[in-house]
Amino acid sequence: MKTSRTFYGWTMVLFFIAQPAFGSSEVSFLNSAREGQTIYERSCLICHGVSGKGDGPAAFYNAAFSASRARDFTVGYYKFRSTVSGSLPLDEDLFRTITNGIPGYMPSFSGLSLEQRWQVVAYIKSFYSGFQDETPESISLNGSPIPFTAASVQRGKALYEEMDCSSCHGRQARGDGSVALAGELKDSRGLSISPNDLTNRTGWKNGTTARDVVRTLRTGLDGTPMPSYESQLAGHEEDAWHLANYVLSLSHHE
Amino acid sequence: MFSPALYLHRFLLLSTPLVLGVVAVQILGPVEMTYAGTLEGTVHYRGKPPPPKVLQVIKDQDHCGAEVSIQSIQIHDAHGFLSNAVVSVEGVKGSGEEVVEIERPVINTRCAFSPRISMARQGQEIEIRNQDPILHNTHIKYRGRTFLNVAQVPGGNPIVKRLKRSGLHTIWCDKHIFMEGSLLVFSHPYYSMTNQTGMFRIEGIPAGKHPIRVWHETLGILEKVVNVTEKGIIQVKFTYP
Ligand code: HEC
Ligand code: HEC
Repeated sequence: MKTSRTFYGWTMVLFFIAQPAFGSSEVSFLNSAREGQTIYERSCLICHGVSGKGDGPAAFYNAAFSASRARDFTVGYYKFRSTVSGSLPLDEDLFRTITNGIPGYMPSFSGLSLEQRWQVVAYIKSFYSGFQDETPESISLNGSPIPFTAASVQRGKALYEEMDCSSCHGRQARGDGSVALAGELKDSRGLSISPNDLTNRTGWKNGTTARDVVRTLRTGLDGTPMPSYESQLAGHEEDAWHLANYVLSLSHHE
Repeated sequence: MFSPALYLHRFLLLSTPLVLGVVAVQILGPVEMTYAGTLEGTVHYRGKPPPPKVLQVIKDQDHCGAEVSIQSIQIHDAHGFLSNAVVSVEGVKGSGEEVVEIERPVINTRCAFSPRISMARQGQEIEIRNQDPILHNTHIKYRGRTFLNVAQVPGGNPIVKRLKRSGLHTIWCDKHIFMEGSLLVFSHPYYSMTNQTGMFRIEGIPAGKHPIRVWHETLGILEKVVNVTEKGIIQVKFTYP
């Protein structure tokens, strides 16, 4: 596996050397991916596996029968994006995940230099060919926040009912909605998955600021039951912020 | 012995038909491809279908009922004519004509997808709607990857998405796991679905030997190579299991 990839890598290098018409960005991407491989083998392989299938020696340790197992980079779905449902993530999204880690699942790699993190981003993208021919469709998430006020939290609570978050996350948002309790929720690999307890933000995966929650609501978490609410929230961006304020209020006084 | 004259002679002899052919094409215009074959047939199910799958409803019973029974094997009369089987010609390219840009509906209605089994041409769009008074999320997976997972509140905006790749797209709703559907996307126009009486018909197939494939959501795939000729109608019969 490794040999063939190295071989592939070298063939590509020769190809680019032979074709000076190609932009230098391709060449640097390639070098980047090669550096990235070294970092990957040292820091990521143990969970994500030699061939990126999420089957490294440690992958089954904490996710033998239930989610979330280390991501399979060869399939092309990503949870933590700033793109529409079904789209590939932006490089910045991958970079953010690597920097922050995923609480409870994956350590933060902020100890790697910025350059090294970009190199490993380039390398994990090389596991999935879709990155070469698809353009990620990003959602504009730059809108200005709605201040955290009692009125906003109140409105968010109403929206939480209206948008039926409680079926999965529960009335009290403790991750105990009826669908979740029935054990019916599954991730892309068919592993049981629980909706987050929204009253305890220390266990959240996709960040704990209002902006992070807005991103989750608009993009959804691909590969999981958590859907994108973009079609309800587009044009009503303030609703996303009210919902985020409500969700944050649930663990505000800890 | 090398004789330039002889070689020239042979060259002319051999190349003349070619030259004439090229000239003919120039005069007569490009050769018309024959898209004449028509395939017609039936899909059958032998035996007694297994009992329907019965699933308990744990959410929105008021609207969806207490349980849902799903019988994917729909047969008609004693001949076991099977409906909702998708028949397609494999290994042929699209005829080059423009893909008709219509939206294929995927409607959440009475806690089911309508249509449950559907077909589309690569490049067309699906339009997802929710006509129920409850929240649904339409979740579509393609080759292990999320194609789309979108929530729709009652009366929510329709969602339109282009089908960029051919193949099987599976559809479900995480909130109501008994809601299932399949969408088959083709890179060519040679496909059809069996009707109530198990019949299908595909027209304008390029002549030649083609594998014909039948897909059914629970019975799987059947395949048969058929020699499609330019004239007349080729009859085929497929039988599960
Ligand atoms: C201790 C095990 C572990 C290590 C080490 C690890 N990961 Fe992960 N990683 C995971 C798990 C588990 C997930 C899936 C979490 C989930 O789905 O909620 C994941 C998911 C990811 C994702 C997908 C995020 C998304 O949006 O879906 C990326 C990207 C990623 N890891 C990159 C890396 C890189 C790069 C390294 C090495 C620098 C690394 N990981 C090291 C366990 C690990
Ligand atoms: C169909 C079930 C379902 C519905 C409906 C749903 N969620 Fe989720 N949600 C989930 C699941 C499952 C996860 C966990 C995904 C994971 O761990 O990878 C999740 C994760 C989240 C997260 C991410 C927390 C983190 O780890 O960063 C937030 C925030 C969230 N949901 C809020 C909401 C809100 C608000 C609504 C309603 C507008 C909602 N969800 C509707 C199933 C659902």
